[in-house]
Amino acid sequence: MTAEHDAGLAVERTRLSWRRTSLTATGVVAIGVFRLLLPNPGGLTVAGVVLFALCWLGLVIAAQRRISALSSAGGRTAGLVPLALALLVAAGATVSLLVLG
Amino acid sequence: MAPTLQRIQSVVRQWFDPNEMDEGGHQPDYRFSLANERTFLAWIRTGLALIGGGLATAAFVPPLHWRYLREGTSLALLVLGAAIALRAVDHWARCERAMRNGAPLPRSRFPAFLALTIAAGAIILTVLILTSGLRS
Repeated sequence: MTAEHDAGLAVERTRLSWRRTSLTATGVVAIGVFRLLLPNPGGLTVAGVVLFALCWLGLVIAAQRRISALSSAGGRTAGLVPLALALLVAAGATVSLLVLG
Repeated sequence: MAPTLQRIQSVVRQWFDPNEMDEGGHQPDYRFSLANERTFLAWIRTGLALIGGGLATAAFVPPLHWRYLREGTSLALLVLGAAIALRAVDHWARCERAMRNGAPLPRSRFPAFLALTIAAGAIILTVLILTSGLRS
């Protein structure tokens, strides 16, 4: 196995990992939206769905940016994308707490 | 109090300033950086799984015999999920910096804390459900 081959796989694995993460986030947001609509849609439903949608959009955009950065220039550092991702996940949890409360 | 505040400030600055992270030490083999990034993402997915569990508990579990058991479980899972996400980015940044400086990777009690919390939560829930039955 050559060094280049190995490096290519590291980039590929990282890209797939971002993809997996945004898919997981999509599933979680789907559960959240389902929870909001399930018993009977109330006053908080619209606000909750909008907030969930914003978190989801941010997450997917962040992941997509990182995926394309990895595709074009493999060795670049992640910069602020991990921070953005973590904050969006925490924000999603906060939204969940608000709409459940 | 003041040193604590300073420490918090420097930690948060470290999160927000990737340039600061790129200074000092030398660039590690980028495969190590990518591995660090994947570990971060695995933690994020762990957090997402707990958040999903919290939401699913609220959505699908019928009201339990103990009054606030369902709400409490859901709340605990959501808070734990958010904590994992925030801790993940902190740990990622600290690992990145340690690799640049050739320092040992930061050691953490968090995995042990998380494992004990989840195990204890599962055992408590099992006992409560077994002793009271699922429905009220």
